[in-house]
Amino acid sequence: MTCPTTEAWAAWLDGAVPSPGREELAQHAAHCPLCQATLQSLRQVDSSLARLRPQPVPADVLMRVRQSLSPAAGHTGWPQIMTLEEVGRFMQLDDRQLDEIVEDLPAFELAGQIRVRYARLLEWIAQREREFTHQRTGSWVGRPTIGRDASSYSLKFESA
Amino acid sequence: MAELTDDDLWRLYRQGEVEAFEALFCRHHTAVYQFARTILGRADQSEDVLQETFLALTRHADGYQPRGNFRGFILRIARNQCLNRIAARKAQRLALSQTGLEWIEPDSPEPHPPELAERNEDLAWIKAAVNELPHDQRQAIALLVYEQMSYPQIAELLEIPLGTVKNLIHRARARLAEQWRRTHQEK
Repeated sequence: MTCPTTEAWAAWLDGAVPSPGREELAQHAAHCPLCQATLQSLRQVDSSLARLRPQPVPADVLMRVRQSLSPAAGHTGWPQIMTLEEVGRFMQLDDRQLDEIVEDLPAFELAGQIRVRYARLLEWIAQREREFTHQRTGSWVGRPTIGRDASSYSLKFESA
Repeated sequence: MAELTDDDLWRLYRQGEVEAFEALFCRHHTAVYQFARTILGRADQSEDVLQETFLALTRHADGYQPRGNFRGFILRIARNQCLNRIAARKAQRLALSQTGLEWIEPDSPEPHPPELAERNEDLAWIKAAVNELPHDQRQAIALLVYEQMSYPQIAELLEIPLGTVKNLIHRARARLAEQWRRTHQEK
């Protein structure tokens, strides 16, 4: 039997060579010093590869990337200035429900149109979350998720 | 946020929680950077890939459907970013060759301190040797070694058949072993 290639030995070590080829290669390895050396080098490489770990990102790189991402991270696909229709879609409210809360929204007028800043809307929602939790539990804890029907929280806060 | 899954964080981010994006960045930036370093071999371009990969997440927020494979999704973006840069390098080389000028690979910036502090000779050798592998083998080895991915997971991410993944990894290990033997025989 001529000596198998290093690639064939790599497959053999990986258990990727089916019988009877697998046993034939094992017999060859037992008597061939050249292939034993090949196997030794493969095992050495496998052992070194197994010790490789991802290097931490250098602090200066991390700082630069974070700085460049911070404005974009606030962008979740919604515009910074929202129309009422967009506010309704964001909060999953229909037109009638939106009409009920429109006066409370942190809105402003622009060329006769009502607009809402996305960032202010998030603050407003967070404030309502806190108020809602306080009303239900009497304490300033808990944090319901945005955009669900308030009745779905009844069980969650029942025992609080 | 430590107890939340990637998909939970992604949903929170889509609902406006910027902290959830930061948590996702904390979890995955090392993997993205390491992958880019292994594929591109250049620190400056790897930094660009890290930045562009996370920017792409914010620009195409509808692109990810939460199905429990955020790491695979983000590494696929990183891989595309790397391929774009490799293609750009090739195009630059080609354009230069047509003018009769010689392409000189820009020097990679100085290695960062953790790399300078690398004292284990074998580890330093294997890292350098992996960086010398052909591109397709390097990708597969990076995912196997650094990401501890299984062969089927690598096949899915690289969108190639399972048999091809096995061949790539066997060829890569064989190449590394032959190089190891040559290097250590010379000593």
